Parts: sequence; structure tokens; C-alpha cells
Amino acid sequence: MTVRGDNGNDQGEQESIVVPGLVHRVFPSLHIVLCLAAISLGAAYLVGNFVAWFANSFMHELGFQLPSLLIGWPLQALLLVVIGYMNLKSGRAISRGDAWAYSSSLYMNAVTGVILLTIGPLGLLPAVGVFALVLALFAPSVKSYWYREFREDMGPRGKELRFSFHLLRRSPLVIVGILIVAGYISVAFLAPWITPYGPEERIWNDANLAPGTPAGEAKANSLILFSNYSADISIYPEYTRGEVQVGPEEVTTSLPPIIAFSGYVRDTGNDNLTNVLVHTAVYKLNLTTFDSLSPSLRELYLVKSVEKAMLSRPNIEVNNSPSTYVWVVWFVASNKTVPWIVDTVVTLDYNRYYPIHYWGTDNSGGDIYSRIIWAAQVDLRVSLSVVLVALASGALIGAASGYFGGKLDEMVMRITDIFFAFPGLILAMAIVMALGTRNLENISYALMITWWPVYARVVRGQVLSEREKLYVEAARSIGASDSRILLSHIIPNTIQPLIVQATMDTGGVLLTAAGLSFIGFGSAAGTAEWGLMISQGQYYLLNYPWECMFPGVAILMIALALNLVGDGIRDILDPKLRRRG
Amino acid sequence: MKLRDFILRRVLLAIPVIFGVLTITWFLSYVVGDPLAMFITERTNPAAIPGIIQDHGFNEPLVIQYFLYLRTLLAGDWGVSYSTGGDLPVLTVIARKFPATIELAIVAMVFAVILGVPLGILSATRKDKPIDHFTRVFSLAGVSMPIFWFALLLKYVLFYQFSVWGLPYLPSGDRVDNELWKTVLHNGVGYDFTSSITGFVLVDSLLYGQPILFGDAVLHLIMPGFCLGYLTLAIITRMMRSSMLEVMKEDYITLARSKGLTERIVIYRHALRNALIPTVTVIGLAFGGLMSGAVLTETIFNWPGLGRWATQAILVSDMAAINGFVLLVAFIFVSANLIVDLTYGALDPRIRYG
Amino acid sequence: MSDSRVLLSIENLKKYFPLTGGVFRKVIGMVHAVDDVTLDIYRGETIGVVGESGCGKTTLGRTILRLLDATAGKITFMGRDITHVKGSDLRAIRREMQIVFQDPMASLDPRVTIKNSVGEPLLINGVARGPRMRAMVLDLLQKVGLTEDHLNRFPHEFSGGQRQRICIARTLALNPKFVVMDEPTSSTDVSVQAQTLNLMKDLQDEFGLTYMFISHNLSVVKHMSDRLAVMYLGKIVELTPEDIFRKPLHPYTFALVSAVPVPDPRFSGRAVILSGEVPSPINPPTGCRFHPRCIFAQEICSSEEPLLRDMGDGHLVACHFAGELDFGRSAQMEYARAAEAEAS
Ligand SMILES: Nc1ncnc2c1ncn2[C@@H]1O[C@H](COP(=O)(O)OP(=O)(O)O)[C@@H](O)[C@H]1O
Ligand code: SF4
Ligand SMILES: [Mg+2]
Repeated sequence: MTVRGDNGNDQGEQESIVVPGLVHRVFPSLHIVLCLAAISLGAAYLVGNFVAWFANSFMHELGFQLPSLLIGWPLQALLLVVIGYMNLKSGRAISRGDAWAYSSSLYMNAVTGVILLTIGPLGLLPAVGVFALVLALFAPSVKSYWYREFREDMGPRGKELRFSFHLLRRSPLVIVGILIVAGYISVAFLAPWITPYGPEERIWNDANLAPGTPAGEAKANSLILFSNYSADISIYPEYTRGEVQVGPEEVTTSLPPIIAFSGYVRDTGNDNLTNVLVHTAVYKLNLTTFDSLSPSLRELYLVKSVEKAMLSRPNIEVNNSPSTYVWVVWFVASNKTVPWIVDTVVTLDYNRYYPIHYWGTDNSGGDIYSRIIWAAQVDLRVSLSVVLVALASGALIGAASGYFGGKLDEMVMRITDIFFAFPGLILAMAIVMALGTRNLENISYALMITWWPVYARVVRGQVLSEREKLYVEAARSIGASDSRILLSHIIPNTIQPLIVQATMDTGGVLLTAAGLSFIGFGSAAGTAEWGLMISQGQYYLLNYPWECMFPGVAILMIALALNLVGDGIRDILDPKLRRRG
Repeated sequence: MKLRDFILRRVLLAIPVIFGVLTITWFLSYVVGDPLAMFITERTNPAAIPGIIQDHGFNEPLVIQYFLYLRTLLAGDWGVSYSTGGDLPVLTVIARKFPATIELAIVAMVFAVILGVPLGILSATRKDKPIDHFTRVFSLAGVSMPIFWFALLLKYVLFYQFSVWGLPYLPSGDRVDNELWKTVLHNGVGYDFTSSITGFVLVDSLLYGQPILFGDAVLHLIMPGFCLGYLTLAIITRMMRSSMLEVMKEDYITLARSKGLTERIVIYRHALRNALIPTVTVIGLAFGGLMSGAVLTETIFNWPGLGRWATQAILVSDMAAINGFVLLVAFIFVSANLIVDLTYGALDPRIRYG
Repeated sequence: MSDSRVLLSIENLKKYFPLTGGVFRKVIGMVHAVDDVTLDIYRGETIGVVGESGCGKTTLGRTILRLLDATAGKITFMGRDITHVKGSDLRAIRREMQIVFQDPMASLDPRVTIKNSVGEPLLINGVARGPRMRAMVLDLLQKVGLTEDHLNRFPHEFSGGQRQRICIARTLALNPKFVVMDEPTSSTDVSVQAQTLNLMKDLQDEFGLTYMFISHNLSVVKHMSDRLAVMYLGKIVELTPEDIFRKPLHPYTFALVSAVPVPDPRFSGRAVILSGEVPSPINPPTGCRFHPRCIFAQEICSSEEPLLRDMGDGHLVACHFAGELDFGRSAQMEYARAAEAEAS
């Protein structure tokens, strides 16, 4: 195998590349075996899924149970079958000596491997096998082919991409939009780390605080020292004790750390719970000294002790220097007749601080800043899933309708007409109403049903107009088959308007979902969701306007950003505006 | 294809759509949902329930139920809405509340058109100037605005903050200031829309010959009208801008310019007329937006129209009311689109009817 | 069709497009785009087709190539009836017959590079892929005057003339026998036109091609073709191997000829300006289709359809009074005569 420089005439050189003999003999058969394996694996999964669905819906009473290995992964199964089938074709081409098919099978094998990996533990082994095959046999032997092809094909595409970026740089509004969208997505992902409070966490004493007010209750990092759930107290009194070292690194804020106890006694019978006492105490001692001291001497080192029947949460302050403490929990039960179940947790809360409610709190003491950020997860998930499902189903229906035309087309168009006869929000309203339960899932389903005709129309129109284009006829005149025309000429040309539509719709769906949630179709009160937050804040509008202003700004910003991006990429992708020199 | 054929075809095409609409509402409320909820309320006598089931054929097969449903609908029995205080037939409630919603929608549309068209022209004629950028962001904000939040914002600023600052402020909701109407009309009821002449406050106040009441009605319409119209305003502005830009590139505009006509005449005589045509279609689609928006806006501004009725119905699961509302809105939307289609066909001589 | 010189023969070819309308979209009429055309095309020749736009030239070309299904008639290619072939047979036939479309911009997929566009026929028909395809594409591009630099570019980066040449390269990829050139120069300016025409002549010699050259521009067609067919409303009204400028026999042809400007202002002559609109192909006039606009029309013309008659030397004319009419002299005729006299 000789490889010359790039400057010469490529023709002779490329013709002279020879696939090493061993590879050529071994590979095609291995490859075909792999394809068959992928197809049968996928088919097995599909059948398994169907059987499972069938079993779950009809044979529940019979106690029929399917091996869990075969359940799940319908998407992967379908992909495995499809890719396996396509790959089989290139396998046959290789065995016929078409060296060029190596590159396409390389791509497809890599994809198969990735799909197998997503099937979880079951797919891990075959995936490793596939990748080993790719690396060991393929890559070296076909590198010189596919790299060249790849570079040459990607060259002009890269140029177009760079030109797109160039256009992008000249439209600041789009950049702002992209930054905002990226910001929202990352904020949604980072919510656990950038919010002081959870989505449904509330501090009841902190209700209706203005933006910028510090919290009334401290937050802290927690170290669990001891936990024991569902223990029975059989002997009394029973001791549990342990030792904890508190160093300066636990005291980075001005508040001292505390050791918090929580003991909860459940009674399995009808006994009066006052029969049980939970005693808790903290001593400034180490454990050996503690054990060697008599109870009366221990009292000297006592920091604090609390006793309570059901729940004790002693906030025991500890000094600011590194030292050792002993904590003790014991139960005293009198008149024990039935087992008591006791849940005990002892934690060290350190680095305590008072978080600031940047954007205030709502009427039930929820931190608006935290809730808005958690809600980004919820709202983005709803609108993205709606758009994706509507897009996929609508595009499929629209493409079929546009390409096959005739009766099917007429029918699909009449159906979409009917859907377009309802304003989106109102149809979704009726659907949620019919579904019965009011929650975000049902809102999503309703919006998916409402939105697919949009995509069906877009794709159909696009397919129809592409179908009439001269280059499609040109492809037909050189003998291209229908499937080739659809896949390599029509579909690539319909994708761009779809992207634009989907981007803008993500904003529209978000607004509609928030609106539905606002009028009371959303989740249960208290869920962190923008529409619901506004809905609950409206009753406090005049006195505490921030409760509905901030969530509204959040919605407005993301919808605006999505529209900006959609608008911008439409202009960037528009071939009329794009043309140069 | 002749214009007559075109009109006929469009009207005929609307019929299957109407049937589709009926089918979908039937499917949603009878097959997916619980149809009995539409006819049985808490106050229904339990002994009468088997009779109701019998009357409406809920024990019949679905196909027969479907035709029964069509029959009852066409006979004008749309069920009973119990969320209105006193169990009123849905059609009666609709008849009572319809004028309020339509009045609001018309005002919103007027806002949208009288602001949107000039803004679009301004933006197109001063392309890439600051005013253009401003207009684009303004109209983008319109399509991105959560309307219910915008209503709250307007209310907070124009009603509450203005009153705090001692400025003249707008009323926070309702159609009229009923105390004022009581004193002016001396009837002890104020504005009673069930017995009013037309149901449109603006018209009624003039018919009473009371400009002061007319002014009051106008004041009450400003905030909800603008709020509801903002989305449409945004859409009209964008449409106007882009079609204006499109038209300005046409040859006949270049020709008009080269004839030495002033820019003003070129724009207002030649370009505007043609650019307005696509904008007309938008108005039809905007009607759907207005109906969706009315649900949210009316709730916030306490507007006694169909939208607020629907929201209240939702809260207490008043199926008949919701069903009636959905059907009505679909009918309005279909007819609005039909009318716009026909207008468009009549307006644009270039259209290939088909 | 035993004549071995005939590559392609068309008999009574018709192509009607249904026209729908009314409330229920019923078929309310037929566009008679190509109506009863009979034509033999000989190996290696260039047959020109000329006529006003809308007279059915493109439809004729497309129907011959089976891009449209004929309404009636028969197409025989290399002795084989291809009017109704389907599937892989049809694809095999298409390799032999190619078309260069009227609009070179629209006939290239905007998202596919030139290499892949030109290479697509090779790929589809299993001729070559990968480096071999690249080499063959490069070879073709060089033949039409493009270079290796152009391989990996998108169509929008080219000028109209270049795109036209790319389309030509693509049609030549499969080594066809017969190529329909549909107004190949209509979208390029004059300086490029001449270049393209010469290129096509060179390629014809090199590949041994048979051309059907379609244009509404009479001088271009005359420059290119060995025989010339004049079409009017879906019919061939005159078919001649002779110099059309010197001996037009059909009144319509004369009108076309006399409208062509002469490069020398000293020559002038009679010009017939065609009056009236072109009649609709939906309801073509009875009898001779040209009669509403023909200045020589007699009664018989509106009732009886003139058939193509051989006026000697294979010069076919469809006019009742062919050869009997005195057109007078057009400037073109004078000029052609003078040029001939000068040459001898
Ligand atoms: N796909 C079609 N459907 C209906 N009518 C058509 C179609 N294609 C062409 N026609 C009609 O057929 C006639 C001939 O068209 P065409 O062959 O394109 O003319 P030319 O190429 O000579 O300009 C025209 O009247 C045109 O309107
Ligand atoms: S047949 Fe009659 S109408 Fe037709 S061209 Fe000849 S003279 Fe004119
Ligand atoms: Mg043509």
C-alpha cells in the first residue's frame, strides 16, 4: 500500500490501494454474522416488548411474568433491526470485493456498538465485541479510504458551516438568543448545585419575603452520624452513642455547627406514645473518656441535653475550635406492651449560613429563585418532549401524505383541517378535561395531540414542493429510485424549515403549557412550575408583586430567546439570503 | 376556476370540518370522558338519573350515541351548565356571555390593526434603522409573551402603581363601574347585560344617550383590549413588515420610483395596497389566538365573558359548559377563516383559486 | 422501422394534461401539449425543435424520455418499443437517453456538491464509486471546461453558464446515445451562449451523440441543427433538412424567420408580424391550428386539418397551400442569398 503526497494526480494512486488479504477473507463473514446477530437481537426485543405489553394488559390475572431481560428498549431494538438490515447490504458488497463498502460498514458498525451500549448491561458485551472488531480489523485497513472521502466530503460542508457561523456572528440578537437558551438549559441541569432550596422546600416562617431578604432559618451541609430505621426498643433504657470530630473546616461561616437529633417513635399497637421518652445529649469529650467517667462526672462535660416523647431536635451549639464530642441517644419506655418502632437519625450540620432569598419568597415560604430554576427543568422537559413527539409523528405523517399523495393526502389534509379548527389552547383544554386527571403529563399528551398537524402540514408542503423541483426530475432521469430520491434529495431539503418551526414552537408550546397550568390544569398546588407559580402569585399581586413577576420574566425570556433563534436561523439557512458572489 | 366556484368549494370544504369538530368533541366528552357529567349535577334528583340515561341513550351502542349526540346538539340541547349559579342551559349562557367576549375581541383586533399596520410599514421603510430593530423586538416580545402574565403586569402598573403614585389610573377589571351606572341610570341595577339592548356596552351606553357611561366603558376596555390584542398586534406587524419588504422589491415599485414619484406616493399608493393583502389572512388566524387569549385575559380582568365562564367551569369540572365553549370557539374560528379566505380570494386578482 | 439509420422514432405521440376545476375538482378539460407528433431521429444528427414558448417543446422532450407517460402513440428507441417499459428496464433505457433541463440552477440539488451531483448517475447505475467515481467525474468536468477546484463546491457558487456545463457533464456521465437539450442557452447571456454551443458540438463529435435541440430562438437552432422541426400548438408544422431562412414553406415558419433580425442593415424585406394571442392549447382551433392568425387562411383551413406533406428532399410541411403561397422576401432570405453569393 503506497501513499503519496496530496499534490500529485490522485487517480492512479487510489486505484492501487489493496485491502490486506486476511481482512478481506475474514471480515465479510464476520461482518455478516454481526449484522444477523443485531437483527435477531432487535427482533427478539421487539417481540419481547409486544408480548410484555400483551401480557400486562390482558393476562395480568394469570400471574404471567416475562423475563425482565426482554422488556424495554423498543427504540434500540427497532434501530438494531434497521441498521442491521442496511449493514447487511454493505456486508454483501464487501464480500463481492467492493472495497469501498468498508467505509459505510465502519460507520454503521460504530453506530450499532453505540446503540448496544445504551441497552445497558445486556448490551455491554456485544458492544465491546463490535468495537473491538471495528478497531482491530477495520480501522487500519480502510483508514486511507474513508479518511480521504471524509475529508473531501466534509470540506465543502465545513465551509458552509463556517459561513453560517460568519452570518451568525453578524446577527447579535441570535447570539443573545442562543446564549439565553443555553443558559436556561445549563441552569436546569445545574439546579441541584445552584439553588439553596429544593423545588418544594418551604420555610413557613419566611412567607412573602421581599427580594434580597436573608432567610430566617439557616441552611447547612449535613453529615449523617448515625441512622437506624425501624428498630424495636425491647430493653429499656437502651443507649446509642458515638463520637464526632469537628474541625475548623466545618466552621467556614459565622454560624456554629450543630448536632441534630431526630428520633421518631411509631407504635405498632394502640399504646399511648407518651410511654416512650427519647433522651438525647451531647458531651464535649472523647469516647474513651466518656466511657470511663461516671454518670455524675459526665454531667460536667454536658453541652446540652433534650428529652422529648416523639421528636427531638436539639439545636446544640458547639464551639468554634477543633474538638471531639460524644453524642448519646437513649430511649426510656415504661409500660411496654407492644413493639415500638423507632427511627433515629443523628446528623452534624456544619457550615451553616442564612441564604438570601434573591427573588423573595412566595406565600408559603418557598424560595422563588430556587423554584424558578427547578421549574426550568419541568417546563423545558414538557415543551421539548411535546415538540419532539409532535415533530416525529407529524413529520412522518406529512412526508407520507406528501409523497404518496392521492386519497391518503386528501384524508390527512382533512384531518389536519379539523385540528386547525380549534385554537391550540382550547383543544388542549378539552383533551385534558376528557383525560380526567390534571397534571403535567396530561398537558403534554394534550399538546402533542394538538401540535402534530402543524408539522404534518409543514413537511407535506415541503415534500410537495421538493417533489416538483427540477432536480428531483433530473435525478429520476438518471435512473434514481423513489427511495433514493426521497432519502437523499427530498428529506435533506425539508429538514431546515422543520428545525426553524420546531425552535419557534418550543416557545409556543411552553407558553401554552404555562397558560394551561395557569388556569388550573397543571400539577398539584406547590409544584415548581412557572405557570402555576404565576397563578398562585396573582392573589398577592398588589402587595407582593415579585411572586408572579419573576416566573413571568422567566417564561418571557426563554420564549423570546427561542423565537429569536428560530427567526435568526431561518434567515441564516435561507438560500436566497445566503447566496454570495 | 371562477370566483363563484371557489367560494362554493370553500364553503363545502367547511362542512366536513364542522363534522370533524363535532366528532372530536363527541369523542372527547363521550368516549374518553364521562358523558353523564354533562347532564347530571349535584342537584339532580337521583331518581331521575336512569331517566336521563335513557333519554340521552347512554345505554345504546356508541354509533347510535353519536347520532343521538348530533341530534340533541342540532336540536339546541347543549346540556346544562351548573357553574353559572342556577342551572342554565348552555346555549342560554352562551347567548348571554357572547357579546362581552366579542366586544373585547373586536377592540383587541382594532388595537392590533391600527397599531400593527403603521408599525409594520415604519419598520419596512426604515429597514435596519433603530426603529426597525425596536419594532422587531417589540413584535417578537408579543409572540413570546405569556398573556396571562402580561395582564397581571398591566394591572399592577396601570391600576395599582398609578393609583399609588396618584396618577389617573385604569380600572382593574369588570366591564363597567356598576356604581356609576346605577347613579347615572337611576335603575338600581346598573348595567344588566341580560336585559340590555345589544349586550355591547359601548353601543348600549350610546343608546342610553350617556357619554359618561361610554367613557367608562372605554376605560374598562383599554387594558384587557390591549392585552388581548398584543399577540395579534405582533403577528400583524411582522406580517406587514415582511410583505412590505417583499412588495418593495417588485418591479412595478422600481418602475414607479423611476417614474419620479415621491417615496411617499410609491409607498402609500402602490406598495401598501399590495402588502395589505397577505396581512388580511393573518387576521383570520389571529381569531383563534384571540379566543385562546380570551380565556386567560377574561379571567384576570374579571370580564364576564365566555372565557371566564370556561375557566370557572374547568375549576368545578362543568363538562357541559366546557364542551359548549369548545364547540362554539371552533365554529367561530372556522367561520372567521372562511370569511377571510373568501375576502382574500376576492381581494387578490392573482390568486389561483384552488 | 427497419431503417438502421433511425435511432429513435416517434409515431402519433400525444401528451394531454388533465385540467381540473369546478367545485369538486373534476377534470374539465385537457391541455393538448403534444398532439399527434410523428418524427424519426437519425443516428448522429441534431434535430432542432423551435416554436413559441408554451407550444409543447419541453413536453415533447420529456415524453420521449419517458419522464412523462404518453397519452397515446408509440416511441421506438433502437428498434425497441419503449412506450410502456417500467422498472429496471426503464432505468436501463434512461442510461441511453438523457436530458439537459431548461433551468440549470433548478436542476442541481442545492445541497449536493458538484462531485456528487455529477457522480450520482455513476453511483446509481453501479458504474463507479469512491475514487474511481471521483476520477471519472473529474474527467467529465474537464471535458466541459471545469477544473478540479470545482469538484467540491455547491451549485450556488457557480455562474449560469458553468451550471449549464455541469448539467451537461452529468448527462454525459453514463455515455448516452441520445440527449435532449432543452433550451440550454436560454438562461445564459450571449457571450456564454456561443461557448456553450461550441462545446456541445465538440462533445457531439467526441461522444457520437444524437441531439434533440430545443429552443425558441430560431437562429440558435439553425446554427446547431441538421434538420429543423417547427412546432405550433403541440404539432409539428414544418420539418426541413434545408436552410430554413432561405426556404420557409409554412406561413408560421415564415413569420418566425422574418422576425429574426439581420446583422447587416442594408438588407430589408417583408416582415410578418404575428397578430393576436396564441390560442389556448385547451381548446385548440379546428382545422389548421394556425388559421386564426394566418394571413393566407381560406375557408378550408378552419375545417380541414392539413397533414404533413413531403415537398421534396424530405421537406415536410403541414399547410393546405404549401408551395403555392407567395411570401415575398424577408430580410433574412436576402441576407442568406447575398452571403451565399459572396461565398461562391
Ligand atoms: N405538468 C403540466 N400540467 C399541465 N399542463 C402542463 C404541464 N406541463 C406543461 N403544461 C402545458 O403544456 C403546454 C406546453 O408546455 P411546454 O412543453 O413546457 O412548452 P414549451 O417548452 O414549448 O415552452 C403549456 O401550455 C403548458 O401550460
Ligand atoms: S393551412 Fe391555411 S391557415 Fe394553415 S398555414 Fe396553411 S394557409 Fe395558413
Ligand atoms: Mg420549455
